[in-house]
Amino acid sequence: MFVVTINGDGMFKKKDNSKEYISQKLLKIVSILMLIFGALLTFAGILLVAFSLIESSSGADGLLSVSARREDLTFSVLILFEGTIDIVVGLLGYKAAHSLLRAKVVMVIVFTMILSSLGDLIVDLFTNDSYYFNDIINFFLYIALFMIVSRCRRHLRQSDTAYLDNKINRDIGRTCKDLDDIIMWSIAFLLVFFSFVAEIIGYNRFTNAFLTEYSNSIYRTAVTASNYVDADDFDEYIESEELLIGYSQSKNALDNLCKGQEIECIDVVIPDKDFDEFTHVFYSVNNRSKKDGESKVTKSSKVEEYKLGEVTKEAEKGYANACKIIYEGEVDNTVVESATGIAETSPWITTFVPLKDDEGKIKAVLSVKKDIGELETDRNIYMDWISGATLYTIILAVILVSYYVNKEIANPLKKVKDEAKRFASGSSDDIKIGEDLEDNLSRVREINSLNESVYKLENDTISYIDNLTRITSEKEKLGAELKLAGQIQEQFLPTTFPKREEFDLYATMKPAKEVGGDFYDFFMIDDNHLGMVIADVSDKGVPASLFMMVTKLLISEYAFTSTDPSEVLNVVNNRIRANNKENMFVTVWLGILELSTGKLTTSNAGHEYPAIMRKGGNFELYKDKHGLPLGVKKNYSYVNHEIMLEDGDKIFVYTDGITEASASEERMFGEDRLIDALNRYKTKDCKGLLEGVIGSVDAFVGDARQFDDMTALCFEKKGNGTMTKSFKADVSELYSVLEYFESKVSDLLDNKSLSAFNVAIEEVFVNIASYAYEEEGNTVDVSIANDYVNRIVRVVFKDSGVKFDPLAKSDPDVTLPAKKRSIGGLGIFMTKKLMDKVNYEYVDDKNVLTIEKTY
Amino acid sequence: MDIKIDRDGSKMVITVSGRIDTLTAPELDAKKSELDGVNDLILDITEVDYISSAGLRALLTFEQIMEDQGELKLKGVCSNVMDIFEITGFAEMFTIID
Repeated sequence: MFVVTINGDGMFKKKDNSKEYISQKLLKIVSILMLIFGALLTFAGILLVAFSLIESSSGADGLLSVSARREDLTFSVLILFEGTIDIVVGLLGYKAAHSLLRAKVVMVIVFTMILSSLGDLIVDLFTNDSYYFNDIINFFLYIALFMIVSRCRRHLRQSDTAYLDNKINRDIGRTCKDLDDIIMWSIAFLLVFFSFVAEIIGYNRFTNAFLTEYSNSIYRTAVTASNYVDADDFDEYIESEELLIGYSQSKNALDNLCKGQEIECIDVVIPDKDFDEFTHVFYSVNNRSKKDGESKVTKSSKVEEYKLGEVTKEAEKGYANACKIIYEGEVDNTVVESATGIAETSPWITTFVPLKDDEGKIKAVLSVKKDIGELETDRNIYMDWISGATLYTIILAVILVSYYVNKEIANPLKKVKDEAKRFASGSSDDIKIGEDLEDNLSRVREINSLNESVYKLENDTISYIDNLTRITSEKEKLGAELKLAGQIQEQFLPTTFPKREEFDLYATMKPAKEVGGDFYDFFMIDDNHLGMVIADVSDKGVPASLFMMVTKLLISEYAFTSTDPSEVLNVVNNRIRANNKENMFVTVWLGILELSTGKLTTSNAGHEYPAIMRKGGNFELYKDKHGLPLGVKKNYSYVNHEIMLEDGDKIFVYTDGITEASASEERMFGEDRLIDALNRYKTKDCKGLLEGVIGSVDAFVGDARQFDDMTALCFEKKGNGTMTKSFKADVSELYSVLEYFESKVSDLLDNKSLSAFNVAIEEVFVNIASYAYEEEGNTVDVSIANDYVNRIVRVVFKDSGVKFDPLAKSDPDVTLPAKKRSIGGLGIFMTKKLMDKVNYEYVDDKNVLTIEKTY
Repeated sequence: MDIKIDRDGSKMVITVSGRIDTLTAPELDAKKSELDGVNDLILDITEVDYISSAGLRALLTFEQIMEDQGELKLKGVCSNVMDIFEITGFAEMFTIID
């Protein structure tokens, strides 16, 4: 690839010294040559025309035939034509290097000119025309011009972006042509073809008409001539030694006829039997003096007449055959002609008629020959006019078409194309309608509709993009709001899980969309009652989330008024039903646990069965009786189920997002897989269990998108929180006992209560350690119990020592002065005073001392 | 428990800090042997936040000794300790100064 530098006007710079530059220069030179030659021809043509006109008007030489003069004029005009065409081509060609359009036009014109010149040259060669030098010069000039223009056109095209775009972007497997090229070349070829056809038809029609006319004419002449001679006398003429009077009279009559009718010759012959030799009887020749020169009509010099009785062999071409036909008597005349006019002989026509004696027997043959050079002249003039007119039409048509096509089709099309390209490559930010399209009007309807279509397309595209941008930003805003809504919803669900000794609880919700319709909830109704809820709203997304918020609030609010789940659901159902125009509903499982007894009362409003695991056993679905979902039927009565939860029992509730989580349309996670997963993780705490189950679901569904929220809650009962530890019954263990106590209850008790317990525990433990056992190595069991419900901390001391009730001893008198105070008894007294309750029992051979205090 | 004794002739200040319980009280109780010739004893228990019956007994011993040879004053009784004193009548029995 070479790089082409182009100025604004399409000129290649000299410094490039490139092929383009050389082509341009060559084209200019040839064009100038063409211009000069054309000017010369035009000048000569004008002169010749002037001469012809002067000659014909002055009638200087009357001998010159009319047709000859016409031919001269035609020839002169044709020279003039050629000259003007050369000037036009030269002018166009000079600037063709600058403009692709001109180059195309010149190519078409030059091509037709080459065809025309070639035709002229061929004719010239066959007719030995002496004026062919201009045709040769023209021919080679045109060839040169064609080659150079073709080069220039190629260079111009390679620098035309549109052409290159087309070349590069769309290879349709066929050579693409320019529209104006197609039209111009089509016109040129059609016109050339038309001209060719017209010339062939014209040639034939012209020749035939002419020949018919002439053959009739000379036939009449021949009949006249035959009347001048008497065939019966021929033998006598020939045998006689001298010319007879009758012969001379006939001869004179024929001579005069010859001259008068402008006949070439009249010949009367008697052929022999074989039509080999002919005996001439009469031979009249029209030897009029002619002006040789421009006219081609007669080139033969003076012809010697055959003498009477002279014998020749086959006098003229076709003679013998014609005579034979006449002698056979089948026709009364026959015609031999040479109408081509090729070579040096002028075209002629000869007619043969029989001469009969009195008995009707054919005695001799009379032939009349006429020069028909006029035919050729007129025919050539006709042909020249046709080809000339065709050439001019082609040039005119090509120039007009190139102008029109470019102005009304190609340029508007290019504008539309450029505009479409500009529009397509514009970024979406600054996209705007092309101004070019508005004034881009053509007289071609289709172009205008295309223009309008693109204009409309751009308009529509812009408004579409605007719409899209607006919708997108609205969507983003909506998305952000939804996300925020999701966060609010998430914060609405309790995520601080109680750390209690007597139970463990954990729950999770995983919405499928930004906001969900599932929820879980748990709350302490009072000190002894824990409420747990799991629910699933019938729909998903925003409507479901609104419904969910309301339902959650209603349930927790009413749960604080009653510890009976069915009662809570009854009320909430009616509340939801009352304002439920959209007929949404929500399935709810509500469980209220009495912490002190482990009695779980549940009510199920159309929700999934809970899964329950008894301590040491497996998870199983607890198939309680379903009620209708909330919001379906007014005044519906829900029923309660009671389950006693023992320490170590677990209960798992969930929404259908878990059981209906699907890996494909057919395969859902299902209850069986859920139970398997639960049992796989049953030894873990509630959090670990939930995470294990959710992990199993995630692994099952893989990448499949989930359409439902996944929510689950797990609860485990862990007993009432009593802890027991054995200590050596020795005073030195005091701090261990106190540390153990503080580690269990420090977060429950304030400083004062803690201090009181410290003193009480010290007094009791030191008392036991000092007095219960006689020998060392015995132990004391210290149990610490936390009654969450009654907010009581209880410490129980058990020892197997001597049965002794420290409480039995009477209290010391604390009002006595120091001197009268005894040392003992003060510890137990302080314990009694510091604790709310101190109790002694002797059970199973053990001293059991219980101290307790409310916090 | 830490015990610090400052004696100036017949004046003595015993500063106690920490717990005075069953395990630490005997240490305090042992200081009674140093009370000879002391007629003005100040027991500073500002840094004591816990006292059990064993501690009370040690205090009672000091009080009984000092009743014969002078005066004992308790200084800096915190609220926890004061609770115990009130339950046991010790609040009435001692001279408590700030």
